[in-house]
Amino acid sequence: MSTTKRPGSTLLALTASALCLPGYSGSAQAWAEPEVQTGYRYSHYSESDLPATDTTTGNGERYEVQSHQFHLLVPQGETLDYNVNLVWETMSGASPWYVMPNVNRMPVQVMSGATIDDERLELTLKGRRYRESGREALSVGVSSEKDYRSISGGIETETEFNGRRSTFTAGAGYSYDRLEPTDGASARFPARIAADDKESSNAYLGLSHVLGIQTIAQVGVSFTYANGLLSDPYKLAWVDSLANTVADTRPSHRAQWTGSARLRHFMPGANAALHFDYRHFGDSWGIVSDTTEVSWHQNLPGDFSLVPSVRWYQQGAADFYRNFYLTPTADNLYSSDYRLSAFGAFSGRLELSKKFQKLSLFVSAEIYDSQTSYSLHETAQANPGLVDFTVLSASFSYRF
Amino acid sequence: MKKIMQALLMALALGGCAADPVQPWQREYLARPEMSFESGYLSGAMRTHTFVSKEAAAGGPALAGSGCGCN
Repeated sequence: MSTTKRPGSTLLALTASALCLPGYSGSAQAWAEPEVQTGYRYSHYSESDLPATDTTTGNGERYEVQSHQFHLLVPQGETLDYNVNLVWETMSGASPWYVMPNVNRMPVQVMSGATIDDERLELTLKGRRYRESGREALSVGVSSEKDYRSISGGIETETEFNGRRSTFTAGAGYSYDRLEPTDGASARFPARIAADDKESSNAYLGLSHVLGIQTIAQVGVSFTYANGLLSDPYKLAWVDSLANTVADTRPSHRAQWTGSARLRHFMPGANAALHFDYRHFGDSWGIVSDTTEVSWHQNLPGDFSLVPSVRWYQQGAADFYRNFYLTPTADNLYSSDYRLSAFGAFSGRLELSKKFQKLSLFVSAEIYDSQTSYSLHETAQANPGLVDFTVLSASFSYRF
Repeated sequence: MKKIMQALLMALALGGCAADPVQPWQREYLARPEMSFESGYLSGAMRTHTFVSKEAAAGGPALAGSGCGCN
């Protein structure tokens, strides 16, 4: 722990701007945040109804989520701070159940009906210890729903080097999830599991580097391994020759990897910053995807800021995915979950913020549209359950 | 995976070739909040959670955190 006296606030600000490098989680600095900070965010997530012709009943009502997020940061001395983050969500509506062919052999979506009515609570605690050239963090988290519980933990480190022009980041985490599906092993759904669990371990490495007085870039890789119940216990798949459905059955192991690159460039003449983010993903289920996002952070008079952004996502299908199956599979793997199909999505987001001395206010709106034509991966038939959604949010943060 | 690693190593090597090193007193632009690699904690976490729930891909230079039965 540092034994030097903590500098005054003015010197802190000048030193931070002169020496710090935006690393993985913002500036790496020798001292913890000096002030208690708190924040709250409300979000309303709403999915568009499916077209009546894409469903078996003509009712394409989907899913909506109301989210409340609370954040508190408390410093302890010069070298420690603690973060507390709480999420409370209420979910309701219907979700895709399985896909079957209509009389014209075109896939149509069978929905679950408005059967979802659930709450989710997630609590994450993170402690950070600062040192001369970086910091370490330890985090733990728990998440709870009616049918799903998860505990997680992780460690992270961040170190500056190369004359503080470069920052190395790394982290490792683990989560254990326990599933107890509603109506599991019941008379209504005898094939639905009563309970099962899964584990997931992930790790990442990142390296950022200052390219010039206005530009910084970061590259990173990550790896995740999951095993256990990776199937969706609420979903089914249609098998034509059986004239019946079978349970969604996915491999019990999944390895995932990503490579990412991020760029930040400030333009003094425009008083704005350009962000570019790219991620390539692959996994052992045969899925390959690319995510590209560009945003423009425009500072405006009166301490307003406007941030428009565009995101393009595209993926190929999992090896074992089908809209529906003609005959039983040799490997006993089945899934018609649209999230494993080939599709692409464009989303546009706009955020407006206003900063006061201690208080900051934010409002944002995001629209997400998915279609198979947005993907570079070809597919014979689109999954009829592809989702479009809108997210509206309002939040504030306050420094004491 | 091997090709990803090779591309990243090449990018790192090119990044180290800056002609003039940035001096500490020249970093005022880099220290601005809008130059951070992370968006605001509240918005960034929720966006990541939403996309992971609706797409097959997940992961990046961050920890995954707790899971959910998000449908």
